[in-house]
Amino acid sequence: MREFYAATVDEAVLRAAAALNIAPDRLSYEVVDPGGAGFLGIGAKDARINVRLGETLPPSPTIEAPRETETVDATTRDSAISEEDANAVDTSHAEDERTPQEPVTPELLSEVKALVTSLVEAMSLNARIDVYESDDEIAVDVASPETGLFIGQKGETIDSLQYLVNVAVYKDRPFAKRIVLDAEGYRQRRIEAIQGIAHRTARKAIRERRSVELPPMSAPERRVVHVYLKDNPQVNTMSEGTGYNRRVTISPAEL
Amino acid sequence: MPDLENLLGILARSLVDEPDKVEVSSTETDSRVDLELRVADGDIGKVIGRQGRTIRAIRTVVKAASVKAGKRTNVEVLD
Repeated sequence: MREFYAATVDEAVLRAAAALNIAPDRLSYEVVDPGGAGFLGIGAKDARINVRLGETLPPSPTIEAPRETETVDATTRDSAISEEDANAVDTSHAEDERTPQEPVTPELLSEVKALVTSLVEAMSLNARIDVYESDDEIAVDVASPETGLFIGQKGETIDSLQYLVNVAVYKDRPFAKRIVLDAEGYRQRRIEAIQGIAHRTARKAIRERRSVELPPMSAPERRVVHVYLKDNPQVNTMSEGTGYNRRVTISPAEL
Repeated sequence: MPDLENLLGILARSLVDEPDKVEVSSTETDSRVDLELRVADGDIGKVIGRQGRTIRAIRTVVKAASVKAGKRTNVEVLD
């Protein structure tokens, strides 16, 4: 039994199919949580499925994942994806080809849960905390009536907590899987919002025939922009600036 | 009400090699809370982090928690 999740059940199935290298229609799975878009993005949550590993047909290595365009190949056409962005710790749920050497033990999961619980309590937030291992990460889902406070402006609080939890948990043990904090599907919504900005800015750059700068973003967020516009031949993307001021510039390809 | 001293203590103890040496004190007025963090000499780098990334994250989390208390906060690392 292995759990996968995505914005919708269909996407979760595709993700599972890609990870397990099994055709989507051959997967045997049950829906744990059908997910939901929520209302205006409030209350949105991931769809989750449990795949029955034993009941799947033998893997057929020729199957290409239909929707796995998120995986970045640094050697692809667009060299604009800098080393830093390509290797960025990704906050998206994108697949990653790395196979973790260290297993995720129940002790690790309970340590993560204990730490996040104590932090959330010390912030005096009422929250239900759900920790589970997914395909490429240790997912921590924080359900709270005060999600806004937990996420912070542009996610600064949830990102800071996530960073601190990763540093603390892997201080004395070998790295297993990246710990990703999420609340009410925030990560997925943020990716979609950034893709929307990238899309509109690319159109503006083409229309006005000039380079347009995006606001400063973190490495994983810049990566979302690069990957999203990678297959658009009309624009090129490039990261410029240093530190917290680093941002993506979108230029028309003709320039 | 969030206990900011406790929050800062939990964060610091989770990051350092010598959690027993972590000390947190605070001065509180009507409008603000000033927190001071003391750790073992060898652990100062651990709570500050590369280019101050860790202390910046700590300040962000403490600041978020202080919203409920309606006070401004400041976190200093003493050496």
